[in-house]
Amino acid sequence: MRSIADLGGIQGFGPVDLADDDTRFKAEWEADTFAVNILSLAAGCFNIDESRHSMEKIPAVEYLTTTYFEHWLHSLEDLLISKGVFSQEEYQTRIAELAAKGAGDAA
Amino acid sequence: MGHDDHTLPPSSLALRIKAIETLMVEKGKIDPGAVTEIVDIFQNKLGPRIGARVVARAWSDSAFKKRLLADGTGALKEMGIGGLQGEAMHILENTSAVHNVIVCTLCSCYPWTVLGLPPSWYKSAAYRSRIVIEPRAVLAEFGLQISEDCEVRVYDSNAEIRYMVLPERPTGTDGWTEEQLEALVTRDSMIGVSVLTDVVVG
Repeated sequence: MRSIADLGGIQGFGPVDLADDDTRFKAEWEADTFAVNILSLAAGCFNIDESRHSMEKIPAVEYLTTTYFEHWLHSLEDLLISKGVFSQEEYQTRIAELAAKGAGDAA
Repeated sequence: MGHDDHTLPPSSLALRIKAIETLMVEKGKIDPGAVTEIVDIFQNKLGPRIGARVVARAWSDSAFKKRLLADGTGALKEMGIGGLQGEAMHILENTSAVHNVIVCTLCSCYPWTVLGLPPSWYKSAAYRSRIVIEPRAVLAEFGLQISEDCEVRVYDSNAEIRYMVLPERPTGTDGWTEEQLEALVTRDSMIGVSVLTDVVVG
C-alpha cells in the first residue's frame, strides 16, 4: 500500500511557501515533542524505522490536515503505548491530572 | 487504540506531550532536564554555520575536499562533526555541469549535524512532492534558473543517509581565508535551492 507520507511526485500541492522559512520551533510543545522523540530513540524505546512506520500509518486525511510535529506526537503515543512503556490508562490519567492543574493553559 | 480515546475531550497538544514527558521521566527513560538540553542543542548550537565551515575548508584544502566527497562521514569526523543517530553523510559537489538539491520525500530527514533544523518549507507537502518531479520549476520559485545544459540531480534523504550540497566556490575569491569564505556560504546553497553569487572584484 502506498502511504500518503510517500509524497514524492504527487501533484496538486501548489507552490512552495517560501515565506515560511523559519527553522525555530513555533511553540514549546513542538520543541518538547521533538526532544522527547530524540530521547526516546536514544533510550531504545523504539527505533527510527518504527517511528517512521508509525507516521506512515496515519490516515491520509488526518496526515494532510495535521501539522508536522503532530505527526511526531501521534507516533510517540502510538509507539510508547503499544510497546508498553506506559499504558493508555496511565496516559489518560496523567493528561487529566495535568489538565486539572492547568498545566496546558499555555497551549 | 480502543474506545477509551473518546472518553475525554481532545486534549491539547501541550498537555499530551507534557503527559508523555513526565511519564518518561518517572519511568527512568528520560533524565530530568534532558529535554531542555536537547532543545538548546538543536535550536542554538547546531546550524548552517557548521556546514559553512565544512564548505570553506573543502574550497581551501583540495586533499580534504577529496576525502569529504569520498567519505563524508569520515571527513566530518576529522572536524569533530558527528552523526547523532549514526547516519551516514554524503556530500554532493555542484559543478557547472551538475546541480544537486536535497529533499526527504517521506518525512523530513535533514543533515542536522551540519545544517541544524530544517526551514518549514523543507517539511512542506509542496516541496516534498514537487522537487522530485519538477525540480527546475521548484528551483525557479526560489529564484534559481538552472541552464538547460546543466543536469539537475535530486537526492532523497532517508534515515540512514543524509546529504549536504557542496556549492560552487564563487569567482573573485582567490586567496581568501577560510573565515572569509565561510561568511559567503548560505544555508540554502547547501540544500541546493540557491547558488552563491560571484564576488565582484574592483
